[in-house]
Amino acid sequence: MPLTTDLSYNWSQALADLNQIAAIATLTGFFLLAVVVDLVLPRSRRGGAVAIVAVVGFSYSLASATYRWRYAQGGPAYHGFATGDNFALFFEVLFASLGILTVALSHSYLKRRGLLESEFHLLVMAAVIGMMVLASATSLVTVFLGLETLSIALYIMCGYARTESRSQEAAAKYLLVGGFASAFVLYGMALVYGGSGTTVIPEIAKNLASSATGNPLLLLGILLMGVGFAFKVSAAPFHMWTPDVYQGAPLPVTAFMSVGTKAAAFAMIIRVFAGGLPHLAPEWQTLLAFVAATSMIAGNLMAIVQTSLKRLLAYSGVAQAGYMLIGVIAGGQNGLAAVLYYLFVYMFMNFGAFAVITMLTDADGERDSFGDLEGLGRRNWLLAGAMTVFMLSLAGFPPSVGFFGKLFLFTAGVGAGYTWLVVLAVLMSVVSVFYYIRVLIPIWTPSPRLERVPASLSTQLAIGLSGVASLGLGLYPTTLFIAGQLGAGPLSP
Amino acid sequence: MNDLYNNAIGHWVIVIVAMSVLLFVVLTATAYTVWFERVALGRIQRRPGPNRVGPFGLMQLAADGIKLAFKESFVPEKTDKLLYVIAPTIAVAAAFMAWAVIPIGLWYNVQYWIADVNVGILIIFAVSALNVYAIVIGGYASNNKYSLLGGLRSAAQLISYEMSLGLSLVPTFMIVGSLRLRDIVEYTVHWGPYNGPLPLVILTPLGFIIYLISAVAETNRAPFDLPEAEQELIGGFLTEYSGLKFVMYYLAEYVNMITVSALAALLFFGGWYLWVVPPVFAFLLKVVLFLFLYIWIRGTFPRLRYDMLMRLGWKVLLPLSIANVIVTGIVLVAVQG
Amino acid sequence: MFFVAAAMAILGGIGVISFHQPIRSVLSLVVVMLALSVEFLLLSAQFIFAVQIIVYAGAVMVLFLFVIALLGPARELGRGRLRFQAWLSGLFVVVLLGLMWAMLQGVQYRQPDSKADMSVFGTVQAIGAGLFTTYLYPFELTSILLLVAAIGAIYLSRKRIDDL
Repeated sequence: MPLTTDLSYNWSQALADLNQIAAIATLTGFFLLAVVVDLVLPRSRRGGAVAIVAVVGFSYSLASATYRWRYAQGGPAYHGFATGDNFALFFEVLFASLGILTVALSHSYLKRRGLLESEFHLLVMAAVIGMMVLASATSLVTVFLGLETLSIALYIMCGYARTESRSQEAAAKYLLVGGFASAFVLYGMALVYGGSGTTVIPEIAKNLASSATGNPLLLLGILLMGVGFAFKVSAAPFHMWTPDVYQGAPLPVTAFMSVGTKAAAFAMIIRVFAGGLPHLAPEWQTLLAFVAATSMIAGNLMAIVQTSLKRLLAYSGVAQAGYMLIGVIAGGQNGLAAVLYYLFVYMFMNFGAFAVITMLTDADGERDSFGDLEGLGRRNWLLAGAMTVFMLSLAGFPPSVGFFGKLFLFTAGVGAGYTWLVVLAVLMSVVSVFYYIRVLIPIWTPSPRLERVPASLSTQLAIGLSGVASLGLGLYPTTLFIAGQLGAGPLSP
Repeated sequence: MNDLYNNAIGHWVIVIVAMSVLLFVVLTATAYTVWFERVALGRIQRRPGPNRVGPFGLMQLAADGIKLAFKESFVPEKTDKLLYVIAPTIAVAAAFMAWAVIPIGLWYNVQYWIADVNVGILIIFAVSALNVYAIVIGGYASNNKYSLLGGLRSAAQLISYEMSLGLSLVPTFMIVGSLRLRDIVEYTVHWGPYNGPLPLVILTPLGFIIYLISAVAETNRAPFDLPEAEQELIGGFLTEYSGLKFVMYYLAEYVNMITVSALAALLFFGGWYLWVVPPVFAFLLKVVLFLFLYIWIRGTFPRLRYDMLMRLGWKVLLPLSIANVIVTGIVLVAVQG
Repeated sequence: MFFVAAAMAILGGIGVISFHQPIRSVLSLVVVMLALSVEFLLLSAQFIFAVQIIVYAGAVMVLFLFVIALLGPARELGRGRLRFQAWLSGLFVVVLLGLMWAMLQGVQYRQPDSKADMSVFGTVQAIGAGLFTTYLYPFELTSILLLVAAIGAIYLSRKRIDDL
């Protein structure tokens, strides 16, 4: 796009544009407020105050996104750089909820570990802003800016426990690998821009309608972007960083990023590939099918041999990314709706699982071996029950959300003709049952350990909510699936 | 003249001739700036200053130059030879490059400048930004702890003050609406009966003061000459340099001094306009006055401590210059609607 | 001119990864930045040319230099390589170049946009107006991004946890 200036841009138009990104704007306002609050309050009060500002900000953001979902007309804003369509709103609701859960979980964790609280919440807010920007971006420029905002906040959060070498290692690794991934994405975007002449995603699709096939620039661009995206969703063979970073980062960060980055990266993949390059679908579908297959195999097989719960969940995350990619490949309203549904429920089950492990943390540090789960059934029945629900859900037992999520994904996959991929996915799900159940054994076997696992009210609420959602949305999946279909609407032909 | 200028070959000939002339003029000016400084400092300190070589000591610089040029070209042991030699050349090259875009005057329709680009002032900043490399690399390549400390101090100092330097000029650009140096000089106002050029210092006095302070720091002159503070660092990044390489650094420092003086004259005092004084002479007069101001400051102010220097840059000048930009913006919107 | 600058940039890039002394790598990177700025100038983006030099060459790279000079002139040790690494990497480079060459055989190059007004393009005024109208949203996002980075840098770099 040539450097154009639109000097007729005026206040009323700016206000309309601001309405389209209401959720982001609200959260940004509260983010700035939180910075000021952190600056002016005395040190002892800062943490709690910033946490409250963060929760209020997320709630307002959630409310405004919900309101717009119900009553407002979504459309492009800021000269095609952003949009307020249902797809964006769906993810904004998801990310705002995730933000509330993370703040609730980290409050007591940070206190227990003696880490500063206010900066952590600020970074969570910043990362969520980045994720929302990513979900609502309709230009390669804003996609990249959202990706970077999110990534930079997460790099810092990974190294948040500054005195621990594990945490530092995680931050350094994530920074390097993330930097590589961003560079790949950027290079791919540059080539796509060169091939299509615009960075606005719907216009890319329009420009390429006639001349898409056979332009090597675009193929190379798709390849490079695909590699970068695969890094971000931690799909094999670009998943090597995941276990190390998940293990080294402080637990609430792991919980947050395992869900948040994945959802944001999927939003990005769907936006760019399904929204911008529908005419090159065979090319990127082949690429993603390969990535999906390797992820499911590598993730599930590697998860079996892990002894650390964090690493186990990391590999499980790699496998889950593979399942979700099936929905993206299948495409269409049902395929994308299945992805959106799965991402939403994945938030509850995976975040919940990490939250339970977070609760095991004591003054000496984090506890994430199987032995630490011993006798949890008697030490804290709420955590034990919730963990059972999460594990069964991740494994895909009915009537949990995981079952329906996989059902929707696999149906869409078969419908689109990717039977071989779905067969592989089902086989691998069976394998996964082994290691998910393995987590449950120490929880429910009788054990001499009886000391209680303390859990603060906010964490109990977060875990309880996740558990209830993991069951409830499974017992009654219709509403969320319809919401997913509405969300997928703008991007399915 | 104009025909010649529009012809491609003629254009290059003119540019090359102009560059040679400019090089010669700036070099001579530098030499006499040094003489001027020594004499003025001498008077400030109640001593005669150089007065032996030539009338009023005017040939002193020629004598010094010959002496330094014939010194052994000495490279210390265990240094990075390549970088050690490159560093002073960067300093000189960066210092002279800035003059490519500095307009000296417009007299009888002849333009006394090489290039009139619409981002002129930015190019001067860009080039002077490269000056940091000369000092840091020189300090590093000397393999001497005093040199290294001097070089690092200088890097921190230059980066800190570059920001307030740049921001102090933003109000000027906002008022004029251009970054072209010629437009800034030829800025005119229409205030009721008055219709004509106006020195911009009247409109942004704060910007001028910030510019003046930052410019002294940017040229590493006293009282901000921490990189070569002799009491604590021997000679800073210059410790290991002698002979012609020393001359290069020395030259660069004085060229930079003239550059910032010329910029002050152009940006805040109407460049070559001064009542009836012929343009080029008016410009020279203003530059000389600013040079004297610099020398005066050097002669009378004590050197700052390093932490004071940083505090002044980050906690006083930077917020002030940002506030200056904001206030100017508000006033401009209020006045122009 | 384009190819001269491009060659400079590539040579600088090779220099970054092949010098053993970190300070020379940094200086090679400066060469890359300067060559890139020349490319911007050739595309008549004068403002970006100047900003590229001021920001990258003038500030960012100086900080690199600062850190490396502080850490001292330690040479990077040549150990820790696989035995066939040089051969293997050479092979990969050849294969990759071949693949890219093969892929780029059928490129359809786009014609430059004739609508762009070259007398306005790339001037400070045009960029300023663009930043606050058409590109308002990305511009504001960038400022948030920088704010986040600043918060993070302050958190990670202070010495003790109660320093602030």
